[in-house]
Amino acid sequence: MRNLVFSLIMSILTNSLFAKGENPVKVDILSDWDGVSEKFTLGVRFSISPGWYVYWQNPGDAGLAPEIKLTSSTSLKTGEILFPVPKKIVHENIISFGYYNEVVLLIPVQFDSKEFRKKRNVIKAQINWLVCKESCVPGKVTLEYVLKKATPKEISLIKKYKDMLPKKFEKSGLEVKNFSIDKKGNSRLIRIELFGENVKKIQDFYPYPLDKFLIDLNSIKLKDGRIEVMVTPTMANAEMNFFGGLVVINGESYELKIKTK
Amino acid sequence: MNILNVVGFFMIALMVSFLSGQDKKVEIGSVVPDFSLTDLSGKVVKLSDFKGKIVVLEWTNPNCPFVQRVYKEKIMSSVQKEFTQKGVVWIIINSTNPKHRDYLEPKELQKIYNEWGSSYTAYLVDPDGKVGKMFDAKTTPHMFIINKDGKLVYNGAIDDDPRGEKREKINYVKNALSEILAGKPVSVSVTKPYGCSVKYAEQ
Repeated sequence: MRNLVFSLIMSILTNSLFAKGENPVKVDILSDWDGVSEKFTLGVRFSISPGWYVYWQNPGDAGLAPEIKLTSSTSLKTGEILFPVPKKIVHENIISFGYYNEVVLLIPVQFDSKEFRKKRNVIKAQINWLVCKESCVPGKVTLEYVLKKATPKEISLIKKYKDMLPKKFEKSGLEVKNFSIDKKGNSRLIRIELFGENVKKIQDFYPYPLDKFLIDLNSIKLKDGRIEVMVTPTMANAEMNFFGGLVVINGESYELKIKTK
Repeated sequence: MNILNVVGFFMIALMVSFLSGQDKKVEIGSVVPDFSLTDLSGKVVKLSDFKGKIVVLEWTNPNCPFVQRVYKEKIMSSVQKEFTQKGVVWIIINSTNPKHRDYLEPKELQKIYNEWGSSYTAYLVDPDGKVGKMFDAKTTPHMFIINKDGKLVYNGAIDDDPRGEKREKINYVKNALSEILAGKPVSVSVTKPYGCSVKYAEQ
């Protein structure tokens, strides 16, 4: 009986959003396959109702990044999900990174058998996400995409989102002068010193998520080419092998990756 | 220096002191400052009422799907039940601001958490987010543990399964409480909390 009541309450709470006619996310799949090549880019498009947002690979202080798992009857290799540059979303002391209205997450795909041209190729995508506005709604769907030659509209949309990916750091006009990690109580202070012509134009830094460290997004300081971030280890003797993120300069984002070991 | 200068000086000093106090966040290993909030019946409850006891603070919002899941799957309520029976104080705090669509009146909150089988010691409301910001509570759920010496010993998630898909989960709060009760130091004292953002009032 208790379970029944629980389910009813849950149902009322979770469905209250939809009862008002809100269905915040629609997901579909597209590609830029030219009908010949073994390599192409698959796009997972999130069409998002106004005011709602889905999250970047580092969701920030709250939320959850979308997850996409691909399988196919034809053997294929897939690269990591490529996330376009997100928006920084700030509510009081809580910082998130995400996308409003629409985003296409890109996945490089390569079929590793030439047989794939002879038959119907179906890619199955298990997708889950969290979409938030004032409240949050989790979503998941399994879609089957039958590979077909891309339409001009699909090609154009994939290109649009490829153009929205972060640029290589080498194109930023900056170089890393110094990198340090210093112990500060329970935390670590990461300092990155950059130099170059655009050093005064750095507007923001969106860090990539770290496995064994909690990033204090409110601690990020930027001044004269220096980026400072406080992180706290989530386990004893945690070591950082990599630190990175997007350096925002004049509205453009450049991908900074530093091997720390 | 006339009287206006003197008054002005003290006003500025007071404001600086007030603002710096607001900025101070509770950190692992430090003694948690006392705070007071009202419970669902309107009674004032202070942290110092539980001096000398192990205290768990659980930030919550029943309209958050993460909170709903951890109650539905009894991830939260089973730990509450187990450890309140062992003398641990379990305080639920709701910092949802009254203008937010997720805000619920105390009677509604009581009904929901009772139906969910929650075994809290106190359910406190923090509509202006004062205590939430003192702890830098970010998500619902977000968990904190204070030891018998009044020091913060855990800050983070309830478990290691934000997507709710792992068969074998690590329940960080259960593990930390077991370690404390066994007289051991807490081995994992910071984890990344997951969930919805706390619905603080916009300042």
